[in-house]
Amino acid sequence: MVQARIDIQREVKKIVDDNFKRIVRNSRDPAKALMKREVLNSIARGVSPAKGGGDQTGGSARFVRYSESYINAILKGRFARFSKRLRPVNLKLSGKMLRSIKTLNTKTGFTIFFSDRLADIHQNQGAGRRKVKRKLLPDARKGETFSRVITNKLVKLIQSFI
Amino acid sequence: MAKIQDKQEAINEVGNFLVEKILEDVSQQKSPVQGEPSRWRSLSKKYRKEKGKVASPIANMELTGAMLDQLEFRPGARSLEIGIFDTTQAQKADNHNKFSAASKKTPVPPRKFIPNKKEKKTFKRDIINQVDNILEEFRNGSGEN
Repeated sequence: MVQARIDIQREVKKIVDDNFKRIVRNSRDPAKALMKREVLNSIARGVSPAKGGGDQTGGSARFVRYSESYINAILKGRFARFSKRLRPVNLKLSGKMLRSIKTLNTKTGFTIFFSDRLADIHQNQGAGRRKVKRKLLPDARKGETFSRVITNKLVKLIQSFI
Repeated sequence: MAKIQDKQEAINEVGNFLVEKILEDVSQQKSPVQGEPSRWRSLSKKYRKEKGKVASPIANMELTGAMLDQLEFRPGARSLEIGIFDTTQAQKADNHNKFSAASKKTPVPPRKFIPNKKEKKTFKRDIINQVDNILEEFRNGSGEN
């Protein structure tokens, strides 16, 4: 008997892998731009980009309001040169921390991070005497994810490359 | 159609999304409610100047932030309710959303951000589509934990 074996699974896997690499490659830069924009826009409107990351409990989308002492300082004009207002709670004074947002390519995508140390204070240590935490980004090690609004936009973008 | 195994998780996911989406639209002076104009009327010059002293001088429903801080959803066994349930803030919300007869008589212009069930209103199509996508994820077993 003369015969030849055709391994369809291998051929399908090759096509899928090639397409997978192409989609990741082509969507990465647009995805980086989108995520930077959406993270900053979310913070700008006083909403944590991390699901439930507005306060310590993990149950609030909106950032916890500023402390009374900070509110009083704003009302007294201490930060007038920055045009600082009480609302939204946008974590912006000079803007230096927010401008420190960066992305770094990985094998399968990219990481997004803030390099300014103030970001770590808001995210992990807590700001002010009350040590209030306001999440700028989700911590995947703790099982946190981006808000659904942001995730949906990322998925929609990636789908456009399929 | 496949069943959703973890109904409560799906309801919570939808609830969180709707809160986030309302907050996003409101911050952009947009209504998420079906049939409402896509962009709200701007603030009066006088109020814009007054509001701008302490908050963003746009029609984003946020002066002190107390009202939007109370925006939440309440999950049920098979559905959820979304709104402002705190009695102090609910009045403010009603003045904007015009649910009650009394609120319709106030001079506050309508800027609806919560659909009125009694008027059989729901969210805009794009938002409903995204809710459907979330539920589909849970039917497929790929919903978030």
